[in-house]
Amino acid sequence: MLVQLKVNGRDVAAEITPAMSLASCLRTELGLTGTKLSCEVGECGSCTVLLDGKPVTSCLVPAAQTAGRSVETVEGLASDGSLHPLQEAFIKLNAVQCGFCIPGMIMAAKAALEKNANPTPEEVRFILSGNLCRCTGYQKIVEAVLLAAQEMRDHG
Amino acid sequence: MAEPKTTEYVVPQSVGEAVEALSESPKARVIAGGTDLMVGMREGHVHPTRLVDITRIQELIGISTQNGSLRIGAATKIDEILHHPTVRSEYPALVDAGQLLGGWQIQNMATLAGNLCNASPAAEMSGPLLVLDAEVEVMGPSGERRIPLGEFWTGPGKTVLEPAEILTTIVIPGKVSGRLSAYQRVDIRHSVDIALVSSAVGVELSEGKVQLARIALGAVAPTVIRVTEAEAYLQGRTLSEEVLDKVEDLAEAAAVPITDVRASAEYRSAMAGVLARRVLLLAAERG
Ligand SMILES: Cc1cc2nc3c(=O)[nH]c(=O)nc-3n(C[C@H](O)[C@H](O)[C@H](O)COP(=O)(O)OP(=O)(O)OC[C@H]3O[C@@H](n4cnc5c(N)ncnc54)[C@H](O)[C@@H]3O)c2cc1C
Ligand code: FES
Ligand code: FES
Repeated sequence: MLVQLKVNGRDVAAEITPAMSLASCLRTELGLTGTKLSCEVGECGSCTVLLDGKPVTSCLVPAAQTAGRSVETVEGLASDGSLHPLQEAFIKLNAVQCGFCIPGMIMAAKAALEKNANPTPEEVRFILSGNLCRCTGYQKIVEAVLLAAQEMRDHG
Repeated sequence: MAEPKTTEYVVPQSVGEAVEALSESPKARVIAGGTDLMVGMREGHVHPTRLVDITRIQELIGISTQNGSLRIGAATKIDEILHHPTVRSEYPALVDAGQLLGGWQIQNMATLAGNLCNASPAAEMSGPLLVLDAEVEVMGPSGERRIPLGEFWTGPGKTVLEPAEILTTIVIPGKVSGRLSAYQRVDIRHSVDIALVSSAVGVELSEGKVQLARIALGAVAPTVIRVTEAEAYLQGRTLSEEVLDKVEDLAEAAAVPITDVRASAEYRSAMAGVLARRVLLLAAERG
């Protein structure tokens, strides 16, 4: 079956099977491999994308359910060749080790900062509690989100 | 033999269409947020041939008040419930529970009816709705019926729903005031965990004396249960240490948990008592 949706602001159409997940659709049908798939049961958060602006684990979203809706992935963050402040902050603070969890972390953080531009470290930890990282120990990730938040407030 | 494949995904626009789509195909299944069903399909526990997506049916989405009762559409997302002003002010136990249900991502996907229909004895929203005397409205090929939530589950993963029936609305009748209600669980970690034991409590107090009490326990029996012995005992009493001790004992005695990799039956029973006491106090202090 064919599903038509918006991905990173562009109208796209993908040929899917009825039970296919949005994550598989993005990766295999649309070639957007920035969204990572790991547990495929909703537990690790590495497949987090924004669906109509809200973070969801795309391994559990039926692709068919996204018809006519708007999806944002990590590929949509950089604009005009410049990185998003979250991406800049993760690089600047070395908040990335293997990198596998980072697209999901950044998408969840982006949605969180849109709701609350000035979160406390506790709030950042809470908001990222559905995203696992096996490498960094989280400290730098939290610092990077806080730095990005500050950059966005200062230069928003 | 290979498992049957999911070959159809249908998106009805009305409850009537959805019931029809379910009636036509014996292996059809409702899909809402998919957070239980997609996992079940991936793990090979369920093999629907047709998925009936109810998330585009406008009458199933949203929260309204009507003559003192609160009506929550089946396909309303947990995140929407968490942000609803009436829910926040009148039914704090629902907020406690919704915040514990998965992480933010899951709350944006999961629906209230999905949580109830999945019928896990650990389901987060079940206890709070049970102590609010909630009822569910159901539509099927032979019409509509209304079922008290306490009669909805028959065992783990089992409900009284007929194959082509859909839960349409969760109704909180307003007979029990939810103001003094609370919910907590014992778990290992937030966001990606389920309750080892949970308890929901609703009370009404007058000059320190209990006028009405409702206590529910989760994950200690095949379904979420009420502790009616403790509810009756509390009637007319003040929440003294002695009374709380007795409530703790009654809750512990009502629990009939299992041992699994996550916790022993003994631990779960003990925690059922401790939690019921703690959540009762928490609810009472909200006054
Ligand atoms: C990572 C993760 C963490 C989780 N954490 C928790 C947690 O902490 N606490 C908790 O309680 N749950 C948790 N869950 C389970 C799940 O998210 C909830 O039970 C959720 O509310 C299910 O809703 P849904 O809309 O996604 O249901 P779906 O998966 O769409 O459906 C669930 C079942 O109900 C049926 N169904 C759905 N709606 C209806 C309806 N209106 N009428 C008839 N049948 C219907 C479906 O056919 C299916 O069998 C978690 C899940 C994941 C993946
Ligand atoms: S791959 Fe989706 S949450 Fe782990
Ligand atoms: S950087 Fe490796 S999992 Fe997070």
